[in-house]
Amino acid sequence: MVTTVAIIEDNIEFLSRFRHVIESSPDFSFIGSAENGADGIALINNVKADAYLVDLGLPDINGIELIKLAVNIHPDCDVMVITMFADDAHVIQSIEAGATGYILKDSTSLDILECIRTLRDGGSPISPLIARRILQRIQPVIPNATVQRASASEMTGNANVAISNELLSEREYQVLQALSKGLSFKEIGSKYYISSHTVARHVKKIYRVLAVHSRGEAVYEATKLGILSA
Amino acid sequence: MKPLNWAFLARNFRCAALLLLNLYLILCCTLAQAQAEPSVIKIKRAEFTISDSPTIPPASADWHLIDLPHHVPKPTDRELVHYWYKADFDIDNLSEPLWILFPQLLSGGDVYVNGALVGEKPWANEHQEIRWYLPELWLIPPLSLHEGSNEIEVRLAIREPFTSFGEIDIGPEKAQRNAFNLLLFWEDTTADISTALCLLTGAFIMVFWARRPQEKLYGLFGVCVIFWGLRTLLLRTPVIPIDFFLMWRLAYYFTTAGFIVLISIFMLKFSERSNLIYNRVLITYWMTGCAAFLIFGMPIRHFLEAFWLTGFLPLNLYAVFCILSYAARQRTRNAVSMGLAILFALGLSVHDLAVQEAWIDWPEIYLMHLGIPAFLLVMVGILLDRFLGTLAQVESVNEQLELRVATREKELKYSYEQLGKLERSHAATEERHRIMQDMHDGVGSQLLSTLMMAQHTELPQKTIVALLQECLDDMRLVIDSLTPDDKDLLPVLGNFRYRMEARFRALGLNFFWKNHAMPEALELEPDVGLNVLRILQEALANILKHARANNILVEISFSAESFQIRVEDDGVGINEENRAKGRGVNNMQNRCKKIGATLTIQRLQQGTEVILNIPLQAIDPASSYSFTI
Repeated sequence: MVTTVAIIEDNIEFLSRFRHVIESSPDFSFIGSAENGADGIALINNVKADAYLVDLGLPDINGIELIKLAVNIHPDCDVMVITMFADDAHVIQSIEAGATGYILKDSTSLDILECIRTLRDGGSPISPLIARRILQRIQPVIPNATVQRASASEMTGNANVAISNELLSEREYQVLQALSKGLSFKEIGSKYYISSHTVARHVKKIYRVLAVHSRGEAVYEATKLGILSA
Repeated sequence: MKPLNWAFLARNFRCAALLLLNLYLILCCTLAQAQAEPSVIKIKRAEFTISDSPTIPPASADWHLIDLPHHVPKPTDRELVHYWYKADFDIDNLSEPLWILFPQLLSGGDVYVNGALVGEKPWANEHQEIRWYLPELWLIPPLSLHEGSNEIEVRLAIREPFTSFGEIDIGPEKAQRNAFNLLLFWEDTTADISTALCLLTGAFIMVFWARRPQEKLYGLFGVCVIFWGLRTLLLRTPVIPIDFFLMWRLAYYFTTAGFIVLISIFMLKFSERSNLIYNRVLITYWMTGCAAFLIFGMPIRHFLEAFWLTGFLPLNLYAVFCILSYAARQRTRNAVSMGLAILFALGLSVHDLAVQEAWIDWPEIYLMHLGIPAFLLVMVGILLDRFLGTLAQVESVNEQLELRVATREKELKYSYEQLGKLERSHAATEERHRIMQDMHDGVGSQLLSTLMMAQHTELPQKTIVALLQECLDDMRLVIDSLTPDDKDLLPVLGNFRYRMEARFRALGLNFFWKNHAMPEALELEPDVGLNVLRILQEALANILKHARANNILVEISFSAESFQIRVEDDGVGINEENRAKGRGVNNMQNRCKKIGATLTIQRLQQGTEVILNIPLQAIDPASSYSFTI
């Protein structure tokens, strides 16, 4: 089965490189590209792809909006954000908007293809710094998460613990913690007797949860502000 | 003293005036009422003779018919003059026992009715002076009375300059006792109360003055009050041994004149017209009089009383005028009350003068001492006013203080915030400076050297790519090490590992990364962390450039004191020639020095080993380091 890929990227060099990488592989098919936000919206609306590669720094529209649109219109698609440095702030924003992966601009062609394959297989990439940032997002005020978690059963009154408990399963939480310490998928897998593939799937699940949670937060905020009626 | 609005003042003034007027009227009415009992015989005429006979002198003696009350200067030929007074009264029926009432038995004496002794009170003799001045009530033995004309005889002696003999009332017990009680109260009890009050209040004010010596006005008033209390006490001593009579009289003059002097000074001071000359004149006049009496004794007594005491009058009147005009001008509650008190006292003294000189037909009861309680009341009012004022001031001061504290707190908070902002901005500036420096030393110089090399020599594409890759890698390190909010190096190291794994894998090399005893967190200053990463990156770059290795192992061992990074490859191994001229190794050494770490590079049997040892305490003594694994 061929995975269809659409690319929205304003830098023609990168665009052509990505396109070349996609087209060079038999199990991928390039089905469209856009060089700005407006064209990107049209692309998303008209072309259903399995994976969208979106650059955040578009000249007219924030890439975050395109990610949201794509996830909205094609719920079963995967959106990857194209980033220069995989800096956590941008990646987290994208994940909250619904992206499930990110790809570095200077990635090797092997990496790019591997990344999309993993995505379609239900897994997601993650760097330790992004894992750390997600942990902070879930438990913004608690420095020692392990201790906190150990005593979570006694401290049911703590709102943060309640949210994290609700958001992530015990295993997902452990995985995230190990990731943030710099352990590889393989190491984590052998630590918890799961395959590295399962670790990647946990990561994707975590991304989805974060996106849903941030949408929930947005709804909550909007309700509070009176934009939406409760 | 706070000025008050006029409406309030006027009401106050009227109230006070009405109160004083009422008091005065009640006083007069009760005294008048005492005389208006129909069943009581009021003896208005009597006869007297000067005689020291132990029995009543015969009708042939030198009897003089007089009106009662009798008040004339005493004959001056001797000091002690003996008198007999007699008066007639008629009785219609003897059914009821009769009582004899002397509204004021001024000089004491023995009282007889038809020759029978009814009562006796001490009278002046060689050993004692008597100033009885009290009402007396006795039952007339019924058997000594008979229908028709009866006679009262009184025997007494007088040393005082005036011969005084009061009225006599005959009547039934009830009316007489009522009148007696009333008179006793006004003549005796009120004077006692006023004396006690004066001495107590005076003492209280003196204590107050001792605590606050700057309150001269109160001190002055306290002394005044004590003088008046002593004066009243002296004046109302009924029996004075003749040995002490001179001293007694001196004390009386001293206190009386002293009171007048001090109250005059007080009044001037109160009305803010204090005058040193006036004060000195008054005090000198006072002391001169007392000294003169001490020197000349009784002979100048009459002169002192007639002229010396009267001499105070103009000075005193001036003070009264001052205070009244002050009250009229200021119209404050306190000034007006003081003015009224003065007027009241003046009224009483006029009354006293009137009864003393028999200008009016009122009993000879002296009421001057009642003026003092009025003064006291006013002064207590003024003190209370000041106390309340001070209290209100303290409260308002407290409120102001609280307000100021709150304001200061706010200011302090604001300045703290400003300080915080400044610190943050300072930190941001430092950080910016550091990044600039980093750009300059790191990516900037790398880019520049790449550019120079590209300009001067024809570089193969592979080399240019590698050089640019180095630039990019360094930039990634900078971004990774600067991004996190916390100082934990673990995620940064993890990010590095993550990237390197992908890089080496893409090149078909085996890249192993092992952590030993990994702690929960590894806190390091970002610039230290960056240097560690740069050394590590340099080591790995060297492997890629020179080693031609297949397997690369990075081992990180953590301990409480340090952490160690060991990089091992199975390549060709470093040769001494390379080491000497290699810019990369020098760079690594320099960075090590900067962060206090040690670096050892050695050639293995196959490949090279690089060991970097970073002491944790030396870098940051405060860094927390805990093992959980």
